[in-house]
Amino acid sequence: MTTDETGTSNSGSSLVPGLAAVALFVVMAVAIVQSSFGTAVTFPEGESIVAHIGYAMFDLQADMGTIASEGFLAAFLIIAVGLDVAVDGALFLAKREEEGSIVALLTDGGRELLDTAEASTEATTEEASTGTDTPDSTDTTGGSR
Amino acid sequence: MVPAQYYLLLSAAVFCIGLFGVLTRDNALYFLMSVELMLNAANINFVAFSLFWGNLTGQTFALFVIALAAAEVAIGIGIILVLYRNFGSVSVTDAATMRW
Repeated sequence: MTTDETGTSNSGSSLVPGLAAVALFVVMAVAIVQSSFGTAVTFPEGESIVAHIGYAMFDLQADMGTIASEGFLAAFLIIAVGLDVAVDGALFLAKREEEGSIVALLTDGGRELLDTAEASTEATTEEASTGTDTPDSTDTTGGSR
Repeated sequence: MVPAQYYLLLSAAVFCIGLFGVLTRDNALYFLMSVELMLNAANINFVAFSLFWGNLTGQTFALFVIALAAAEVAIGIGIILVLYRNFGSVSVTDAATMRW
């Protein structure tokens, strides 16, 4: 159910998509119920499914044993590259450069932390104008720490 | 053993819920969640037929679909972030042009 700008629900706009989704489900359900899939061929007893998934993923044909599967080594590598690209793309989109400096780490959910930055700037300015320095700044003799 | 039709009906229901979300939601985050539902509906089919035919190809491929879904979410979240910065909201209807 969508909401308009005032926050009130707008059930009328979701009626047609809802009916379309239900109609699609009915059509698929009728097709599924009327179809026949033959006799099930389950996995053999005593075989480790997880181990065989690993064998299939790395295309270890010699270890596959009695459970039928294909080799997925090429797909595994392609997906690995795809995930790398996705992470790089996400970082590229999330990064924000303003005035030559990367400020991506100074964001909170897309919002700029200007208030925090301005507050710290004001505090520093006020501190400098009142002449109250920190102990480190007054320690010009290089005393022991 | 549970008949394959039950798995397929579950998958169809999950897919239609996801389709309903895609058609009705404006919020990009809900949009992403709905797309995930549709992908998981496909995964249910993969695993169900893998179990039904005693072949591991479906289960292995479902793992790849999960990895692809993770990549899709990573990109999607980045796009939503940019959407929020430029429009001040995460409504997909605000971005009606290719550039702004």
